[in-house]
Amino acid sequence: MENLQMLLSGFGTVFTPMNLGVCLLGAILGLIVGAMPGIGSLAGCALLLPLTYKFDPTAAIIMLGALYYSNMYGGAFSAILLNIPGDSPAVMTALDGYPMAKKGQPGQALMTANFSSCIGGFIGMIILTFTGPALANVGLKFGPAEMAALMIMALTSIGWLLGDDPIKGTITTLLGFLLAAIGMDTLSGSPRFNFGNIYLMGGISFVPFVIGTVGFSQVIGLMVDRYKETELPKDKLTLRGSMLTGHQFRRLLPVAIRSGFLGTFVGVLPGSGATTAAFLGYAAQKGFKSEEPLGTGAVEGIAACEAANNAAAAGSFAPLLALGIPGSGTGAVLLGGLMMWGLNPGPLLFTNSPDFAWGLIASLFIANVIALAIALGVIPFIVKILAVPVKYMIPAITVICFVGAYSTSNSMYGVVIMVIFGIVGYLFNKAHIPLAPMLLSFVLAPIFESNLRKAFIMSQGSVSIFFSSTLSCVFLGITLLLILAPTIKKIVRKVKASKTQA
Amino acid sequence: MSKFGVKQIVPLAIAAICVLFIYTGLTKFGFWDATSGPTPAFVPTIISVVLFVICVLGFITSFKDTKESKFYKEEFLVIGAAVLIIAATFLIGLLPSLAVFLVLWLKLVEKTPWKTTIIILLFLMALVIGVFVLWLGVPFPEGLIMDLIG
Repeated sequence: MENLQMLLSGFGTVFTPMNLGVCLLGAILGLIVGAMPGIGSLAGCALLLPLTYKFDPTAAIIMLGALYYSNMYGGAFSAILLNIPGDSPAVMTALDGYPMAKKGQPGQALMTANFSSCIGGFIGMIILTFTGPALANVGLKFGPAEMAALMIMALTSIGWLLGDDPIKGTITTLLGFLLAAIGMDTLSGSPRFNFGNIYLMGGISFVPFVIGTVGFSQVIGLMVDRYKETELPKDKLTLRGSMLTGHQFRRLLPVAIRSGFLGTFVGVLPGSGATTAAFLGYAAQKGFKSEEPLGTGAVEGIAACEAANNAAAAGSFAPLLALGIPGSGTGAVLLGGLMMWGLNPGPLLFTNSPDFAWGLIASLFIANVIALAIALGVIPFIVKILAVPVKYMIPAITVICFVGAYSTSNSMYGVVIMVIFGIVGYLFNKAHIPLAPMLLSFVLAPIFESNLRKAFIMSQGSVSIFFSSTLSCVFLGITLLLILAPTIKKIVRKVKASKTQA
Repeated sequence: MSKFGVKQIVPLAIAAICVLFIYTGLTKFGFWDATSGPTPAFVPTIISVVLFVICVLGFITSFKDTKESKFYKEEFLVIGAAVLIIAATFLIGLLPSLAVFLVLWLKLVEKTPWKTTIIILLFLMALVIGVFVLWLGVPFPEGLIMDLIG
């Protein structure tokens, strides 16, 4: 009950013309950025981060939250109409969305995605309203050792989830740690690892780093595909012609509700995110009855993954706000943004900044409604948005990268950092090394390091502090399982293969 | 077995960075202080050692990686353009450099008609000036030439 009261007070915070305006702006920009193939929510949030400087922290994070959230809607547009997922969670949407569009029902496919996203999102938000503060209450019991163990567990799972190669995942995660070590020491405040460079004394600026790693590197990569022809629907899409029949709606509703719960559960787990939820939602649907086989344009297929990914996006705010652990690269950008505005996500956020925490949760509810309204309203114009040639997007995004990187530090140092990490990101992409774990560890490194060092100071250097509480033992046990999982999988596969051969 | 390329260069380069961190950390800050416990280099040194080992592993296993890593000439055009924009900023400032880049890119690389080029230029410059200069009040650098004139 107390949570609902706090949520209502959160609505009070959001219902100002300014906050509603930024929520609307975030939702519109998120939808456009999400719909454009090749940009995605991570690069979108990174590129739009500088726009939030003008706002107070609450308005800024409301805008970013709305942007992230409506991105999930936008990602489905290009997946359904072009078979090009705008973002990784939309990969599964394309499996049934594109065949449904090919069957002459592109509008219905978009409607299915939009309504499922909305239902899944609401489920995620309602659960977030209760799990967020509960998780924070658990977090309040954490000491430095438990917090450090939790961070290790979250980072291990992230490295494993975001790449198919554990070695590459670990390399990129640990590199993020090293990069974050440049600048000021978190505990003593003394400069370290600046290698005599005065610019590095302040560390690597977060915004240029993110813009370069995910934005500029993507621009370089887009060069090859810039003349690729995309086949857009020939018939004009209208809102009336896209309406779902009662039968279609009845098909999507139970699937969206079921996937919404599943997606939220995945989202709340530290280290997982919308992409994992979409995959699991789709996989789970295979176990249930669908009117048409999955992969042939089934309403159930679109509903399963869209509801799951939006629910996970909402659910992932629980560990982000309550424990300071993001579930995805985009979550890391949001966390970085929060820290930039002086807020420290973690167990104390709900106690120390309730206006902010509840305002953000309330804004997600509003963003969900706004995103649905915009997503429906944009259907007649979506073909025009998707028709913007990639060859024009390359110089345009380059310009945004430059001005965005400059505006954070008002110095060319930011631009240089952006270009350097753009090249690093490009090389990592070529070497098939995932970039998102590096962003996550870059953001989490200061919190992890200060907790780890505090734990060692408390125990006077004894490692036993990490095994003195049940919680940290559980976290470390799960970490060990995550590390061993690929090897166990390999052994199981080999045993199975030798059995079938025999 | 794949040839020597970016998949091998990346772990090697990161391993070299690890060596630099370990050396700087241990020589400048030490690892553990008898009175105050872990030094500022404590965590970075541990991370560097682990990362170094994993990079070596990554280097060895990279030869078994059969995924293709192809580089294209056009991709380097963007990097070259970025370097030129930075260089030109010191002369004519950031916003004029970006305007020149837009025109040159659209005309020379994409062979865009003048009409489209001007529309894109005006749209983007209006967006940048409107949002970043007028709204956010970002003081963009004006460059050596403007400084001399001003």
